[in-house]
Amino acid sequence: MIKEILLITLLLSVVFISGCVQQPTVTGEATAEGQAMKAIEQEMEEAIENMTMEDIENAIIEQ
Amino acid sequence: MMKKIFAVLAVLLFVMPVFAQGQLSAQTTAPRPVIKKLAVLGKGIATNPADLMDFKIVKIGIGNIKVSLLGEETELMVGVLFLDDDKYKVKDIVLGNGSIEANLYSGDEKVGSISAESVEKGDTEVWVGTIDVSGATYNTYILGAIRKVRAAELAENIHSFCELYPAKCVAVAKGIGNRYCEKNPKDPSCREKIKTFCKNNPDDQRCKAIFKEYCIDNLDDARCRYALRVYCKNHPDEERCKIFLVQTTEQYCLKNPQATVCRKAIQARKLVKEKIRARQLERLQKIRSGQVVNPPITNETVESEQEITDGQGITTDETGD
Repeated sequence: MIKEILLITLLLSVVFISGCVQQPTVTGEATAEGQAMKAIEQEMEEAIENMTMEDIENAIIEQ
Repeated sequence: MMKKIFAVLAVLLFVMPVFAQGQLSAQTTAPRPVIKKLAVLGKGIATNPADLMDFKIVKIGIGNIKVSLLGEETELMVGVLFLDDDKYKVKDIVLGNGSIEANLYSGDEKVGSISAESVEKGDTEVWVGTIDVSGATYNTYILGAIRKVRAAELAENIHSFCELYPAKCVAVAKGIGNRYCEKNPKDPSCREKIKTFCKNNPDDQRCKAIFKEYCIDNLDDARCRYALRVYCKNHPDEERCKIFLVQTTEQYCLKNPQATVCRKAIQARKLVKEKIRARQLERLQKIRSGQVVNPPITNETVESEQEITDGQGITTDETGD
């Protein structure tokens, strides 16, 4: 009985440890290019949100 | 023996979650991408000259982004372009004095290109050019969006400027009331003090003045163009404003020397041509001597081979002036 518990615990430990030390895979948005694209897209969306000629004019005049 | 094995396993089971948590937090707290340069941000329209009814809304963002991934830092010049709802990656980017050329990708496949020149129309920056995509060519007009420099970005830019031109930062050193820094502007700790001061006081006139100086050499950044556009509205005769006008319309005016804005630019060019050349030479020398940590990523060259013929705010978070 103790041997079985030990084996199960050992197996669980191996699975758990291997999960902990696994290197994260680099795919999709996790690539440097993906991150950079996401950052620039966010900047673009913020900058052009509700962009009108009036906004541009006001921004220049208010200074 | 069994007890010992159990003890080791128990310790492992206890330690691993802590280790895993450390790994996870290291991943989630990785530095966010940092915007080093914003070349183009804007929105406009693309029209097919062969078909009046074939037009698309264009949104574009191009910049140089510093990304940190798995402990490695890289800087990438990339962009994103929307034609209506179709999204394209913008890569292979070449920036010039008021011009941009790049390829468009859908996934990893190259599907087109964009070529545009900027021109200052009144208070607005307009990028005019063509977009070739999927076999069709569109004429495009993109209005530049407003993107004020943020206080932290302003401070960072001033820091790098003071590293290159310490003598020009003496006034700020004086402003922060540091006599040592006033006399030793080259000291790195003084640059840090100036950076902190300007980050906390982005509206300070001395910080604004240095930022404008920085901007003259970084007109391929939309934040700089905006700051100078605002300033030059009321100071058109200043040398830096003439440089701004000449540099931001250079490519457009090469192709359209008769345009009204180009007549002004050509006049200004006669006055500041040598100044521009001297600044470019000085900067080039600093790059060659390794003084510039982040050399320009444009295709700017010292104008020796190509001559243009004479026919041609800050809030607490953000600043524009």
